[in-house]
Amino acid sequence: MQVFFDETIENEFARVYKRFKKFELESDEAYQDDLDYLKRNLVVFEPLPTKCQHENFNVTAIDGSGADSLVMLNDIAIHLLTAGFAADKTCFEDGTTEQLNTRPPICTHPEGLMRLIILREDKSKEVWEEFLSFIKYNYNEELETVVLRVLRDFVYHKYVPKFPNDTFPDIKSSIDLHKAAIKAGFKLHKSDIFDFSEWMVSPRAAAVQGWFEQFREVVEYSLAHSLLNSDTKFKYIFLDGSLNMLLSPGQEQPRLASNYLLRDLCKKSLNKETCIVAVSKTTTFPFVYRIAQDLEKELGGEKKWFVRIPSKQRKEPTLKMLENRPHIPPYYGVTYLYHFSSEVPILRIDLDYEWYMKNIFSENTKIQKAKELELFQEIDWLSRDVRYFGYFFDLAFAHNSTVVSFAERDVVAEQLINYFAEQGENPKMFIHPRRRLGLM
Amino acid sequence: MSLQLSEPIGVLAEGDISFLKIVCSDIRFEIGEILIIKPPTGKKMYMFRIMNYENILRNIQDLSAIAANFLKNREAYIARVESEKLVKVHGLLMGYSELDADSNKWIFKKPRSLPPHFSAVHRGADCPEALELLLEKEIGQDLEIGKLLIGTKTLDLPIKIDIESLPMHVQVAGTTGAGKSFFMLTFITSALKNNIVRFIKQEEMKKRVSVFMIDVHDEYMRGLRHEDKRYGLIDIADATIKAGNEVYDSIFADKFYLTRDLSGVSKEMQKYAQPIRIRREDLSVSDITSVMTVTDQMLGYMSMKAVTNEDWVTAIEKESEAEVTSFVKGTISAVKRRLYPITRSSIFTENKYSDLAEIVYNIERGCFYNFSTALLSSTEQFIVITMLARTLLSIRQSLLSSTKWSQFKDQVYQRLPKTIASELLGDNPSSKFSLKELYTADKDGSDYRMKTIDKLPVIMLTIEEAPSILGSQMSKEGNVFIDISRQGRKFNIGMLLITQNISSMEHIILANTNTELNLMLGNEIEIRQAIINASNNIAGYEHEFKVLSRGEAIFTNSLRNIPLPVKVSNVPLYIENELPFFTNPYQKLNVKKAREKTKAPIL
Ligand SMILES: Nc1ncnc2c1ncn2[C@@H]1O[C@H](COP(=O)(O)OP(=O)(O)OP(=O)(O)O)[C@@H](O)[C@H]1O
Ligand SMILES: [Mg+2]
Repeated sequence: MQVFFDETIENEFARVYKRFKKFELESDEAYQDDLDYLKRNLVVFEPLPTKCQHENFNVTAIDGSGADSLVMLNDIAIHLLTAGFAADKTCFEDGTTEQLNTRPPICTHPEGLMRLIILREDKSKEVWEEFLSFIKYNYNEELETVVLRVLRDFVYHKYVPKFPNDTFPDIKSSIDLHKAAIKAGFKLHKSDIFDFSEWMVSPRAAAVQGWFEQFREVVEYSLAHSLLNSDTKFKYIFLDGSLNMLLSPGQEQPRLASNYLLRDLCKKSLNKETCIVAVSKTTTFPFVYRIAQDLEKELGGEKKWFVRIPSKQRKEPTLKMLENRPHIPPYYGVTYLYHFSSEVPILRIDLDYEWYMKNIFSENTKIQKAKELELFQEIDWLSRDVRYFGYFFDLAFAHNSTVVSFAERDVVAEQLINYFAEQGENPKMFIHPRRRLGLM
Repeated sequence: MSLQLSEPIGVLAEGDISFLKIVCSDIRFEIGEILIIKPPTGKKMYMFRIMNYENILRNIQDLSAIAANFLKNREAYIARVESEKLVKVHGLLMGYSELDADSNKWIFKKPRSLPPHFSAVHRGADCPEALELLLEKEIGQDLEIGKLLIGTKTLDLPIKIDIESLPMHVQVAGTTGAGKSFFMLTFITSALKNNIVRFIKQEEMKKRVSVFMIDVHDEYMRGLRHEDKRYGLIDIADATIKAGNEVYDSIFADKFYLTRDLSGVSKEMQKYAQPIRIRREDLSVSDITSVMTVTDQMLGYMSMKAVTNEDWVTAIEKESEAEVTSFVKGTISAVKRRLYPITRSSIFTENKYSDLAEIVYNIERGCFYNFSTALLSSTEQFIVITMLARTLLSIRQSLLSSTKWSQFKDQVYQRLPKTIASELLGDNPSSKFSLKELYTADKDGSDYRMKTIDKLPVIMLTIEEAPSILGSQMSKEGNVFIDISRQGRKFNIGMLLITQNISSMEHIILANTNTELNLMLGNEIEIRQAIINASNNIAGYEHEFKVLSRGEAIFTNSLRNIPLPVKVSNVPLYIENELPFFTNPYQKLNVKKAREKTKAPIL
């Protein structure tokens, strides 16, 4: 495209600006109400000093990456998936941390793992089968087992309050589960829950790109799972993303296989007294920039604060700006906004709902506030490495250890092609990524 | 061939062609060190040359930004202060070696791929044997010039110049005291040793190097000094005499030490010395014009005289201005003035005697000459060298364009002045130096078939203080050295050019060298010029040039993949070490001495 900076483009600018202002004005009243709500509920806090007496703990973070279509062989694409982690022990007394020597068995190298997958667009059944075995291989459990366990848990939580005097039935099969679900009034999406392949596929998954994302989530959750099961006890596990789940309207059960892995992970973390902290930048959260601006005006830019987003499920008022975004907070999650300083964008922090209920929630608001404060002081401290000031350093480290640079991608592609050639294949049948980019 | 690597010093975290990040315990590196990088899988062994390094924290791009951040954010700290240390080394990924299954040798290749993460990093200096195997094909085979330099250490890994590279010329540069003379004598010693080895093993002539050396300071006969030791060519010649006549004759001309006259030559050198005498007839007009600038008028006049007089120089010397009318007044006296260095020189004689044929003949049979020019005027010196170079080039050109002796003769007569031509062709009854025996292969009826040039020794002309002859000021008109620099490869004639000043060398000549040895250089301009001119890419070596000390150099050659740092041999010690070889070559090579040939060697 050729851009001419003349009046035409100025006109375009003017037009979009007008539209933008219109949105703002339209939503202004709603926004002001929400802002009032947030103002009333936010908690300003003092950070922990850099060096202090505080109980030390272990923390880890996971991030995933990869290169889709690393090489192409005609219509078959080979994709590269990576996940990396960073694990540290705090040293509050010295104002630093110590890298932990953990290496979960799933890792293919000291800082994470690498997988290659092969996907064919036109063979969805085969892809699904590959997906199932991929989960088994990485997560170390059959998807079926995980799904059953997660659903059982959902049903259990509905069942117990309804029949406080009953013992919850022993669930061994999908029939057992069905019976209990009907009794508890938990609406299962499918009668045959193990015929996953039809419904457990994201609307986007049919495309290769969608599949790639799903495999990628499996890799990340598998690494987290492996870390959780390691000998090291972590107080926090940071994930890059949200705890969003794909739920059909009116449903209480998530759709995607990876959603089940995530639920399972949260559940296991709860039992291990580990807190899953999902961190996302707030582009998914409406008006966040405005909220930040307005609150900074009032509180000053350097004040740290957090605020919990009310949730409809918990019979709390819904923020007007979130009316059309039922997934915030996520169905099984609790969402906070966390303001570090004016120089850092507000972060969205998702916690597991059950963990929250057990570890933070209290009928006594004072107690609850104290617990929230401790949580945020700790995670605030974890985001103060000078290199990534305002972001969780372990997430940054994990990110750095997992991102696949173009150079690395080329190297892997080249080695892969060489390997195929050594096996007697004609290297010419590959389309190298650089060639695809028109660089070769 | 399995490699014995030393303990790894770290693990590769990240890297590309020009830097590596290595997680390792606090380690100091040396500029110029070579790291061997062994990937977790696969058969490639990478090598990386360090040009600079820094200790850094992982994941930091910009240290000053971090420092600023600290100042601004008092609450900030550094996570993992202990384990996050890593060393970032800057330098060059030289390439990798792969074991060739057929030859069981490691073949070095340019870096077409990068060493993967988590490769083990080893220090080359800790495992020189491994490094030697990996670089086997890069370090050369023929003439040893020194040892591989790694940081401040010298590994016992000889670096050699290959004979096939010589006709593509060698350029040696270094500031005063950098070690140019040490190199020169090292080169000669290695060439002489090579020639003896090839002679004794009866290998082809093309593996021999005939060096015609110009010794401007008359320093190489007696030799160079290291502490209380001093060894030179005379020691080598004396030793070789002990090895027997046939060995001596195979590498030295009977009198290989050419001087202006014998008066200044010390007694022990007398037996090798010969005052060089050249017939004026052997000169061509182009010998003059390539050394000094002349007007068209002067050129015309000289050419005219050369057509009608074999000894045109003397003819001009005797001419009186009044007799010539066809040239602008003053031309003749101007030419006479130009010819003064010749007419007044004791080297260029009017009589019929000349050493030229003998010198040419001996060079063509693989012999060494040392031409001491310490007492010569610079013009005298240039003219002798130019004339010799032109004569050599002419006969080889003639050889290239003829298949039969009769054709060859025609060619030589066309190219050379008559007398010298007839001497070299054996047409002059008094000539003992006919090339026939050296140049012809076998009889073909009444004629002889010629050998091809690649059956003859490589001729090497060494020129010290090269810019004075081959500087950018030189006359390019018909200059034989420009021809040699461009076409030497075709005729197997090479030049070894030694200079303090690369930047003042004629650039056509620089552009045609394929081997460079850059010693310590005087200034940034020279360093930049050395980098531009090198036959391998040595961009980024600025730093290294600055830390070179005496005798240390960067060696580049277009037939090799990588520049190599070398420590040139400490030549007095090198010669001392090799003297037993020169005295006793058969024994050292474990070869039985053949029975004396019936045909007596020509002396
Ligand atoms: N390879 C070497 N090993 C050890 N010492 C050396 C080496 N090369 C040079 N030197 C030292 O440096 C001194 C100068 O060396 P050399 O005479 O070769 O320098 P040069 O470049 O020829 O200098 P000039 O321009 O003055 O002729 C030597 O006397 C010797 O002490
Ligand atoms: Mg010198």
